[in-house]
Amino acid sequence: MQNEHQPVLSVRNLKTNFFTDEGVVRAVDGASFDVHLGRTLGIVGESGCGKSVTALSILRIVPRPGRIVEGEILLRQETESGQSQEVALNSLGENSREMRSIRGAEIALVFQEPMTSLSPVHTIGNQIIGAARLHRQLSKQEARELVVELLGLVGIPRAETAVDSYPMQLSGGMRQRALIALALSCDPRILIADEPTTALDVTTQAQILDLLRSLQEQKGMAIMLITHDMGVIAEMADQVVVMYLGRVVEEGPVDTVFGESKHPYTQSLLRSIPSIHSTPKVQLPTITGTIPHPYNRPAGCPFHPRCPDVIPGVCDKHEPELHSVGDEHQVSCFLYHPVPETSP
Amino acid sequence: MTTEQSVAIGEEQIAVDSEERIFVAGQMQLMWWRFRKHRVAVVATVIVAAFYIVVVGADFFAYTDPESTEAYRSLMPPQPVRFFDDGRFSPHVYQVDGKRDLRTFQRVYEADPDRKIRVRLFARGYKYDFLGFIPSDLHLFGVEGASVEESLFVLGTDSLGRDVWSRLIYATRTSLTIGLVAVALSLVLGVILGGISGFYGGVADTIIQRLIEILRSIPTIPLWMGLAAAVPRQWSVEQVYFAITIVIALRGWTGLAREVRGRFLSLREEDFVTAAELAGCSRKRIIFRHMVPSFQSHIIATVTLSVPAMILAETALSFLGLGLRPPAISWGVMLQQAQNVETVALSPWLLLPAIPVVVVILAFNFMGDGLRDAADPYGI
Amino acid sequence: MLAYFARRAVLAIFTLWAVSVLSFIIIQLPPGDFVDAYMAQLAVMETDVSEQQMEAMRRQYALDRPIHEQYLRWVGNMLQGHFGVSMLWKQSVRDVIGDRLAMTMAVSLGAVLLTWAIAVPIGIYSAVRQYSLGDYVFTFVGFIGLGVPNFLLALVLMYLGFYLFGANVGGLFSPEYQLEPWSWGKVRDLLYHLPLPAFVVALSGTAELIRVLRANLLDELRKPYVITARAMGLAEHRLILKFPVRVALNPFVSTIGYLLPYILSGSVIVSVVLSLPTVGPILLGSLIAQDMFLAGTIVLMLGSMTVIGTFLSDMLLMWIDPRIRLGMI
Repeated sequence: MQNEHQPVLSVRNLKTNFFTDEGVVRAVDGASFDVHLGRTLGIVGESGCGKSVTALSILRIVPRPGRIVEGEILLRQETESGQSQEVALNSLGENSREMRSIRGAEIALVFQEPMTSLSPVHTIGNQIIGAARLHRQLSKQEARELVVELLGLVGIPRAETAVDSYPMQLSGGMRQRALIALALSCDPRILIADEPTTALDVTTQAQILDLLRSLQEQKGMAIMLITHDMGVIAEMADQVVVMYLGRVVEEGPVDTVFGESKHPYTQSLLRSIPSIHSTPKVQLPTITGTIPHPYNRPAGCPFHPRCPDVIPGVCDKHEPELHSVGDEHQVSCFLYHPVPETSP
Repeated sequence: MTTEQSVAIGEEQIAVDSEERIFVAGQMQLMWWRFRKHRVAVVATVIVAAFYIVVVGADFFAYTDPESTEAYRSLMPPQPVRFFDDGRFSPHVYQVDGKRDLRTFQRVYEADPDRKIRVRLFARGYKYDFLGFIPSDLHLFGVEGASVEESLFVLGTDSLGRDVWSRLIYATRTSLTIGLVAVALSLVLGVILGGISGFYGGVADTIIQRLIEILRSIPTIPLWMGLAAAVPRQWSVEQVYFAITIVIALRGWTGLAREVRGRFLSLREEDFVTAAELAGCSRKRIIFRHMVPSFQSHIIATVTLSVPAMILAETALSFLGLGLRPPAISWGVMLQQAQNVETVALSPWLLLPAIPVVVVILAFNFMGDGLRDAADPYGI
Repeated sequence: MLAYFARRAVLAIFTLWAVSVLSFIIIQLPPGDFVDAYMAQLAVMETDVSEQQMEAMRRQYALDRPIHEQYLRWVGNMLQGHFGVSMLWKQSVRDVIGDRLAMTMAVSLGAVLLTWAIAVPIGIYSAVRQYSLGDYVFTFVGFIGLGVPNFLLALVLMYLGFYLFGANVGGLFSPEYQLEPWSWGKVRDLLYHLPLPAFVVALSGTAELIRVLRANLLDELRKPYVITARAMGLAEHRLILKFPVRVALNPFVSTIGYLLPYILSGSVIVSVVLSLPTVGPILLGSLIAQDMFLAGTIVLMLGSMTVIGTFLSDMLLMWIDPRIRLGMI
């Protein structure tokens, strides 16, 4: 049996760079976190902070000119003898048979745009059956039955006919459900959901989140939920990772991060959520400035130009690292740990 | 405030300055900046420009009257120009004598190494009016101490004994201007019909669109051939010239009209057009002050890309004997002599006009591609 | 789906009508009527024709009627298979062009197939391996293909053939089959001679299609559904063939519509250079001799072939693209 406390997926110091003509973009710059079976890890940050690239890096499908340059991605697998072993995904070939047998079967991805994430000229059934038969020994008929069952499971009405419909015949919410069915077709242990609800209206959003939660209860899988929406995190996640410009700035259990946020960036994000306690007719506080262009990321702590608590001469010179500030709670900020003696 | 921060502000200031330069630059200025980055397109533009210099100064670049014909020097091969005489730089050619081979009945030519004729730059030759009104007899090059018609054949002669180099120069003038005139005609038709189609929409749009679809679904060359064949035989060179441009433009406008219509359709939805309408601008003002400037760069690109098709149309028609006809000289007219394999096999230099055709078409294509990329507002 | 079919069918019929009007205009363009031209021709050969015969001919072709009646009579004759008489060949137009129309189709079809056979794999390769050495080479060759007009290419190939092998590379048949009736040997001989002219006709169209397919496919490769499929563990080559290539081929099928006029057009002029037994040389000859019934019929036939081909490609597109089948576009 797998140890409850051992993570099914560990990412350690992951660095993914894009080598463009204009320069190197450090899309993910030293991210570390753990994913546990039956639990949900939320990754939150503004757009462009490297959340999606993290997901693509785990699946080893970072598009060119991007490349993983450092770090480890460890997947815990059970061998036939019941022992558990770790596979370093970062050391597998991108198109190797081994890596392909992990994609979809062990780790599945629900991508952010339900409108374009399915091929417009193939039926839903065709696409899901193809994926299911890739990793499982199924006849066409068995696969089709499985797909009908899955479509019913994700709440698509009249699944027997929906199987033969084309994506554009379905609404956005239904397409997202179909995508989830596709992701579930090979019974993955880890489901990465990249902004699964962004393109949907609020009611549908709630339904999709409910669906994800109930599927997790049924199947006991781990969910890695990527979003920019603090509200979604609060509702879904057990653990939270806050990212800014490719770096993890704060990480911990959801209650701790929301209740006792330490990093100025997390605090700013939380302050910008409207709540019933906000004073009416007063503008919500926003984070000053915009995300710097990835080609000229600031020296030192990447957040320092926008930080309200910046320590001049420190934050713009030294890069902070993640340090523990409480039970499972880590933050990377000089407000909470000393400045290194030697200057870099 | 620390020094680092003020430095950072300084850098930001510079960035803002260069951005502002982009903000205040006109459409054409922006396009030029982007176009400069395309090396191949810039080279192609230089080539096109060089060809048009030849068009303007054709009389100067030719050295023999293109109509001067002599049977006794027909189908003479290109003559090598020797640059050194006894180790001294002194460009010259050998006098060529022709006689008829009595067994094959073909003319054979022999160069006489003892009779050297010096070639020099800026020589005097036949008289012409530069730009049509400046009398001159200056030519880029010529010979000393002999008649140039009798002694210089750098690219050989055709079956009627006319100098290929000089004819090629004059053919360039005809072929390249016919392309421009045909494009100009197409542009007028295309902008008017495309504009009506795109701006007004409705029935006018439907009719014009169907018309375009029909014209485009008919094979062009047979259509052109049919129309060109109807040009009366007794018409003068100028009349035929304009008839052919009209025939070519009759189909050429469809592409431009589509482009203009597409631009109008997308611009009609833009906020700045709505804003102009709400501000009470007249239709005319909206079209010419707001819409046209924002798509003129695309039109320039499309026009450039349609020039080669026009040049090719004329070349193909004249090649078949249905376009321009002698005494007009164009690349197609010259290539007509190369229709017969046996002739080409014996006198391959008659294929030479194919080279400027290919070079010009490629140059226009690369230039047009560069312009199209440069016209894209998201291209920076 | 029905609406799409109906729209396409109506447009095809409408275009056919327009083509017939244009062909009729071409017949009418030269000064004088057909009988005048015929008389002039006969006078040259010193054959006497009586006034009655002339009047009879005028009546037969309704030349004494107003122009719209002449047109209707002409179209009526066409529909019944009476294409008129060629003065140049002293034969019915049908006999002159029958076989040659079939040859034109053979060359054009060969060119279309060749265009696809070359453009599809190269287009896919260039898009998938964007900016690779191969991509640059193909892009460059493609540009040359666009820049070299096919009749010039034909001329140069003729010259090279003559220069290198001392043989005429033109024609579609070996001399021994030239006048033979159809047999298996003749068909084999045709297939042996077909690739060169088909290639010459296909070249510029191929260059254009490679560009279209490469651009389409580059767009499709960036679509999220490709990432979805990749994330499901599909092998790269299978994934590309199953999804983005499939999607990018749809606009590709619709390009048959403009490929056909292009290819038929090219086949006419290339046939003149390579002296292929298609309608090309006949059309040229008839136009130069002002044999307008023959010329008009050929233009009409070529136009109709394009319209029908385009209509068939539209139907093919409807069959393979569910978005059109379901009336979504």
